[in-house]
Amino acid sequence: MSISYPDLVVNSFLKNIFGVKIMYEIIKFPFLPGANLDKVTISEIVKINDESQEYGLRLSEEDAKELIEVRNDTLKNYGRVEVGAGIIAKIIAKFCDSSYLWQANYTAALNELIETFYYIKNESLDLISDDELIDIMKDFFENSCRGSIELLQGRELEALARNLRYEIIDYRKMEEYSEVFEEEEY
Amino acid sequence: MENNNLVKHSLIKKEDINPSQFTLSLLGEAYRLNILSLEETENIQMQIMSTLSERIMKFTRGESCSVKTETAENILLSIFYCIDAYLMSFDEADESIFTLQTKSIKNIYEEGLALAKTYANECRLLLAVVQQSKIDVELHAYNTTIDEGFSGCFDEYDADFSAHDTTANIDYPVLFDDATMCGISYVKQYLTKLNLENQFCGLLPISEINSLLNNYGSIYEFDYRDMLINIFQLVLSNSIFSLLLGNSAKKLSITKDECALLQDKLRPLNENDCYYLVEKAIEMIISELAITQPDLQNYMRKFKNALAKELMNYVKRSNLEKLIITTQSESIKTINIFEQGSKMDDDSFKDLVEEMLLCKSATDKFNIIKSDIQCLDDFIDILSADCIFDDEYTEIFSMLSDIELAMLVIKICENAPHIDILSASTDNMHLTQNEIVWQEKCISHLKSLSEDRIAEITKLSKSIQQ
Repeated sequence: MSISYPDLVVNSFLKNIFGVKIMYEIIKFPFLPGANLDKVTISEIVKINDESQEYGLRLSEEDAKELIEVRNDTLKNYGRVEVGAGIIAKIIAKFCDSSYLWQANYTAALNELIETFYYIKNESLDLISDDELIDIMKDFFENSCRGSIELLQGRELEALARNLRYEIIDYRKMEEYSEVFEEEEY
Repeated sequence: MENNNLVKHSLIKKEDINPSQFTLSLLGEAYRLNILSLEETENIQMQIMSTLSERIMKFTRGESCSVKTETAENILLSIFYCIDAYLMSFDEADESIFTLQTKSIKNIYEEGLALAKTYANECRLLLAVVQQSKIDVELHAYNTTIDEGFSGCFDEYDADFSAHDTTANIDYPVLFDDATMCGISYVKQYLTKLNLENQFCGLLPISEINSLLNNYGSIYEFDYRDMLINIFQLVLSNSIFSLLLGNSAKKLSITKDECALLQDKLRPLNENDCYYLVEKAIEMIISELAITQPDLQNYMRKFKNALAKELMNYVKRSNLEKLIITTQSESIKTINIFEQGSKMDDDSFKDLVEEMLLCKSATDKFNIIKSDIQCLDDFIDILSADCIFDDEYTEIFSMLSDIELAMLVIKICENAPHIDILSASTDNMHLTQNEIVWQEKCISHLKSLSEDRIAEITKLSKSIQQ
């Protein structure tokens, strides 16, 4: 299995894990050659075009590189480490049939969805699996949010994360608890 | 055929490797010495990252591809801890390198993980044994460490994802603690040593051990129950000294006179003789107490170097009483000459003052004090009786022993017992002019003494006050 570390996350490892930094300095070679992993990810992303073309959506290699950069920056900003390179591909595969996405907003929307995904992983204290979160995101995006990523993150997913943190069993139901939380937080 | 005796030299010395970062330090050293190539070190690092990747997926049960950086760092530390545990289990660093070259990191990690789990199980059993062999003393650190220090430690131990993290709360020091170890392997060595120490102490009368600890507390003017001391070291030392005095190993009480006797006995010996004596004494203890367990025998023998060296130093400086824990109550009473006699009547005292006024030197006056004065009150009265002048005070004070000076300190500080010698003063409106004179002279003399002597006098004055 491959592992992907954005450079700065690796740097954080170098600072924090005993001796690695010293060893890095002695041996002077890149701690993790990320270029090969990125190539794998790019080809995975581009391969989804076969499916998305049916809906008039397509990503170039440049678009794929941009998505990887956004993913890496987001992981760094949210203090996360990712194993494998599957999340971007999973998000694209899930959202490519959305009625709210078209070629002009496709890459920008995917960038925002990737960022939202990691933000909610943190906010929900990792209490939800990747697949389930992507499913819920798609459901809200298509239905209650009608394609608005702002509403998706600011309203629905924030409420979802809060429900998870409060260990509410039926965490997908937003309406019943939102008033209670609003009163509490007020 | 010629018989060549080949001596195997290790390329890497184990002492050059940092035990708290064993694998990384080993890799760095092996690369520096060209034992491992750049490709090999790179490959090993990639394998470590691949293992981390697998462990993260296992941690999230395959439900999440990403974790918080702190979680990943914790898992990586856990991996390194297990790899270190396995590679450190070899006697030579070269064997560890050979293992890195021939086995996959995944295999090494799994071996180390199994070791960590074994250590945890062994620790659980060892703790039960230690709790059973615990001796009945009131030393707080000893009792809390054994009774509470490991509660939940093994039940909460997570070798899979936090192998490096143990929650033991250890205050009590064992004699040969290995501070270079960490985590569960540290706990294992600690409990193993504590068990050996308990087994030894359990062979001696508990009343002897308790009075030894009491005496130790008295010497250092602390409540021994709050001190961080190793019982085994104190017990074994005094047991050895007891044997050197021709007593039983089980007799831990040693008087000041016996201590002085031992000082005289050891004075002519050189370092080798001293080493041999201690070695022989340890063997005699093993024999007298019928200790058959090799681990305990070796643990006791390990003490001989440290003790023999220390013993020699104290004998050379003629202050063996600082090394041997002597029975305290008796020693102070025998020194206190002023408590032996009764107070003089007024006529005898008047005659004594007149006799002293006739003396031409401070030495003559001191001899009269030594021969005629039997109690402290008379001595204090003489000091204020206008029969000792100027420098004679200093001369007389310089002829007094530490215990006698300590008693004067008590008198000077009787209205402010918390004041030490160096800050003592005669600033007291109830003192007569004569009292002020002798006290000022006494304080000035005390301040001229060495730091060691001042400390000793202070210690004695506090002991007497108690």
